Amino acid sequence: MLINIKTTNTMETKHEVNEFSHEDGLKTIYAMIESAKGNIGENYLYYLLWGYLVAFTCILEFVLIRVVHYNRHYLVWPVLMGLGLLVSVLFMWRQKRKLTHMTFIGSVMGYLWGGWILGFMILLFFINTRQHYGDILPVTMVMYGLGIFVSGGVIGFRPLIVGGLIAFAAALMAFYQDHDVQLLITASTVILSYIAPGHMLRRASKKQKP
Amino acid sequence: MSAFRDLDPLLHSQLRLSIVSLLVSMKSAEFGYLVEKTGATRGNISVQIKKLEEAGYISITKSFRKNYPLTTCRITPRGIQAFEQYVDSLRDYLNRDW
Repeated sequence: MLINIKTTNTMETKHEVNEFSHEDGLKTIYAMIESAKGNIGENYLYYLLWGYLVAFTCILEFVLIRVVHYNRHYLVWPVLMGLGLLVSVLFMWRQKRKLTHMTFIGSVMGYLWGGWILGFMILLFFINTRQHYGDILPVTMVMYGLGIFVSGGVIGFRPLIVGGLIAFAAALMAFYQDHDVQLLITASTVILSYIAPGHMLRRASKKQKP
Repeated sequence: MSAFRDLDPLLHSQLRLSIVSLLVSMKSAEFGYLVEKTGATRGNISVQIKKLEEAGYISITKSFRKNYPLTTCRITPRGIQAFEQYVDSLRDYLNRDW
């Protein structure tokens, strides 16, 4: 919402100040705070990108294990996740170039997901070093469940909060399953907790755009 | 003391109040963003942010992006306090029994 301020004189006069009533003050504050509200769905691309990518990777690895019987099936993860990271960095770089302001929510999200990546790298390092490969997918689900649960709370978007809870429940279930079953659980969870909310965010974003 | 005097004269102006209202809801904003949201002229905004900076309500950082000057504004704790007092005064005034 734009307020047109047609002040011709750059030095506001006492007369002008007097004309500005208390009601005008309230209206101005309301209009500016409304116009500064961020678009809750502006980051839907990341949810769709990672949702589809993880779901595809899980199904691909499942096929490599069960159908192709390829021994190095796990290689799909570093290759496709690396690709996702590269695309995400490109998106971020493009977004940052256009960014003219930083909201508190944007700042919280930046720290949350930045910290998420660091924490996840450390977990991956320990899991690989101790060869607890069976824990990778459940731990990943706990981690992304946490990320989307907090993101949903911060932007006030219930489907992401529900998605986070689904990811926690799925992680609990997956801890007691074999790797190929874990892949199917992860793929289904990602559809419910990332892809579906991602599409809802996309719709919300388009609706919110002036 | 009249209700008008209770209001901070620095904030009780449409453009300065608009700028502070925008900045209070975000971490930082570039000069261009303030121009876009308020619809005021660049010259006018330039004068008003200077006044707000002199009062200690906002801080202004000058830098460069791709060789172009970039002005970024941020509200200070003092600015937040002044804004909150202004809103309280407005509320008291509007809730007053006439």
